[in-house]
Amino acid sequence: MSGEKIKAKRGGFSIGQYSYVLIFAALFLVYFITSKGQLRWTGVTNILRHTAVVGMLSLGMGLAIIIGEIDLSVGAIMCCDACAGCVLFNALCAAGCPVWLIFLLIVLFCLIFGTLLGFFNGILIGKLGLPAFIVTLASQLIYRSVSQYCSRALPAYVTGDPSNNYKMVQGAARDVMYKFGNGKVFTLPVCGLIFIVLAIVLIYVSTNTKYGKRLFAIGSNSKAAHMAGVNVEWTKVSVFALTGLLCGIGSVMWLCMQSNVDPATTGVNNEMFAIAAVVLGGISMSGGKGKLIGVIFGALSYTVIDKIIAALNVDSLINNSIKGAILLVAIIIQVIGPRLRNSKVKKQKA
Amino acid sequence: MNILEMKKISKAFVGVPVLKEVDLTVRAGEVHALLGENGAGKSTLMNILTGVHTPDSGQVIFDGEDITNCSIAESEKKGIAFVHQELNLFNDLRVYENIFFNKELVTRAGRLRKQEMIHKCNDVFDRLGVSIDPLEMVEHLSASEKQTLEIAKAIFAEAKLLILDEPTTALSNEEIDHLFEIVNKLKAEGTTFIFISHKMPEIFRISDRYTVLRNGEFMETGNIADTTAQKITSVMVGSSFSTAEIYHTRPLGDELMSFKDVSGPGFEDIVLSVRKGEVLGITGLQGSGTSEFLQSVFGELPVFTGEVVIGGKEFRNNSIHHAMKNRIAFLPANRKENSVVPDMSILENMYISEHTLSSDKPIIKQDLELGKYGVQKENLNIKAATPHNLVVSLSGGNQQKVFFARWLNTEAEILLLDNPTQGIDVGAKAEIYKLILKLAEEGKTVVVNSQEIPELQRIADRCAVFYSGRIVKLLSHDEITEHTVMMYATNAVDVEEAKQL
Repeated sequence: MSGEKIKAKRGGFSIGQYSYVLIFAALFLVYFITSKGQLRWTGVTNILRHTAVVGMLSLGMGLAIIIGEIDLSVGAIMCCDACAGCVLFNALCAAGCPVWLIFLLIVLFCLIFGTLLGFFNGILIGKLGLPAFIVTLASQLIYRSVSQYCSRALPAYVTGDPSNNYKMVQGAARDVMYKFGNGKVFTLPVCGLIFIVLAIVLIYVSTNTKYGKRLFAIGSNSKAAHMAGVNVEWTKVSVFALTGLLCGIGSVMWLCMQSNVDPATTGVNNEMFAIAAVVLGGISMSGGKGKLIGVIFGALSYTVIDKIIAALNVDSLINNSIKGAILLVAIIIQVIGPRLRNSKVKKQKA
Repeated sequence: MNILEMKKISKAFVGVPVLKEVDLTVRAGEVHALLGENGAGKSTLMNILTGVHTPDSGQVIFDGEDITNCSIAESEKKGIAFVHQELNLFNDLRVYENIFFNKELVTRAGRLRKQEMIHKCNDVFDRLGVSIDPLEMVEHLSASEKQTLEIAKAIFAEAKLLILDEPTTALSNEEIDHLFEIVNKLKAEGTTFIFISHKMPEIFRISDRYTVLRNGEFMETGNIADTTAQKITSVMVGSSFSTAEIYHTRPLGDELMSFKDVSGPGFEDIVLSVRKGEVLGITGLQGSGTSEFLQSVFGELPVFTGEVVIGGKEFRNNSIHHAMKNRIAFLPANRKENSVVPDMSILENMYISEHTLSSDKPIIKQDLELGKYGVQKENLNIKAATPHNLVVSLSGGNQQKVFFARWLNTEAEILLLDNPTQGIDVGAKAEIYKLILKLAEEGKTVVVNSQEIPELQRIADRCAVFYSGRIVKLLSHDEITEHTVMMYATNAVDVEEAKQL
């Protein structure tokens, strides 16, 4: 019977399920060819380095989409958190704190502050039941505008820059952080490694823990999950807080890698890249379906596209057209593919 | 004159015969009751008539024309209208917009002729003797007004034959009277009706003739005036009417759960005492508060006042989780909406509830779960190839067994079952009954809400009959009969009339 065939498919290997690997491999191949033999190992590891921050946001977005919601504020949370972290850094330097303490406090602060920003979204969405799209659209505007306003409103010695930017003041503390952010372990960039490790942790959580299963259940049928005893409201709050935490980690990476934040540009459009990475990674926009591992490849694919554009020496303004086109191809593979297979099965049945 | 003749209709789904050479003859201008238990083939027969399905063999003649293989649109055009149980209305549109949906009257430039449509609506509503404002939003209409609207739509489509599929389930007695008035009015104008219902008093009130189906076979047809409810019931249920098959009296334990003057949304002043190992049936018409009562005990709906004692301790419920910790399980009605997690496997569906109780151990031990799965599969006789298949790959009956397992995995002692055999085929139903009795024998306490009296006859030790939110009668096992229950459930049928039927 054809029914059994479909069932067998799920356990077995099917290309549609792993389209994100194929897309990444194809893009990487194109990158390899376009670089005309100039591609060195550092070029490869750089992909990881440049993926790290957007990758963190994508993981958060992935969680939000798995529970059937969305978080448009990831880029703004990352930016706002980085700005606040920068201000704290400058204040601590001015107060003459020891370097290790500054580093520790900045990391702690960014993680907690990011979580709080996400938690605020979560309460509005999970507890009050407001639509995530609107709530996070609003908080995106708020978080970013506060960051921009403060860059002018705060005294220059904490923003570190008399113009509308935030800069970490020169000194030992900044050097230590910069060295960390741009450091390498076994030739691999630290931030990229942190991203991969955290992604693996989240993949484990999503597939092997009760909490993880709960997220998929909520995205698949939240009413049934509720009736089965799952605390849907608080689980949703926790996911948005977790997304905030991941953005917070992203903001630490940003500070360590860049040492400055421009509230007008940092993280702009990142929520869109994150959504694209999630979709490219094969997670269903309606929630409940997909694997977080896809997000790693989705995010990496987007960095490779940037690299290809750079290698080809074409106008970088065409960049987003290519990203958009690849997103369309990915969604066509994911949506049309199963439809074709089903119609084939139906024909066999007839 | 016969307006409709369905001759020797057969239909099988994936090799399983659903209809076997069924005949149905309807005369012009009559109300024809189509009777049969759930799963007898009534809906399939009606779906063939309206063109949703094509028959494997047989012939359909309507108004002198052969319409055996016509499409839905064609059958509509010929004058057949199906008023579904689940109403097909757009809640966010106005009444007249619904009636004229996709048949709008427009000027040559494409502008809607709203005034004309509204006038036409008013004319029809006058004809039906109802007062509905054509400009009202449909979401503001009552259940009976929506029903009327569906009928009005059929009239606009110039339907000659209206199929009413259990039209009274959501209506109050008064609204039912009104609906029947409309039916009689249209009948006088020459419209024919096929009336599908389970409620005997209504059938006897409104119908002229009847046809009974059982297990996909034609049983009997005749004039309502020549028969009795008793006779029809025995034709409908056949040999499955016997109740002694699986039920046997068991020694019951001590009182486990008691309710004293408990009120909540939709139910009032409930006084009940349930013993350990007992199967208590609760029943009543749609909207009588039985389902709400169970949902309140489980914490899905709030309990307003009263005292609930479980296992000697006062039980104040504020959340589902609290109920689960007190070893209460609830199998909700509407399986697809409230139980199925469609993107998850059988195993994951089985453990989702247990996981919320054991979240102090966050990591899943799949080997353990697979072991227990084997046991549950055996015990509940779940027909599944592997635990990793999606739960939606199973049949309705097997899905329901998975959800039984979901709650048994929480080691619940009290099982609240809300319409547990809804949308399950006859064979699987019998298995569920056996399962419920087996669980009761093992010491679980079961409260079953069901509108199917034969079901309660087969499994319940006692049966509480609800009428508009209150328990009007507590019947012992031997007292549960369709007639007695209906008598109390409607609270309107007086004893004399009940005896007559």
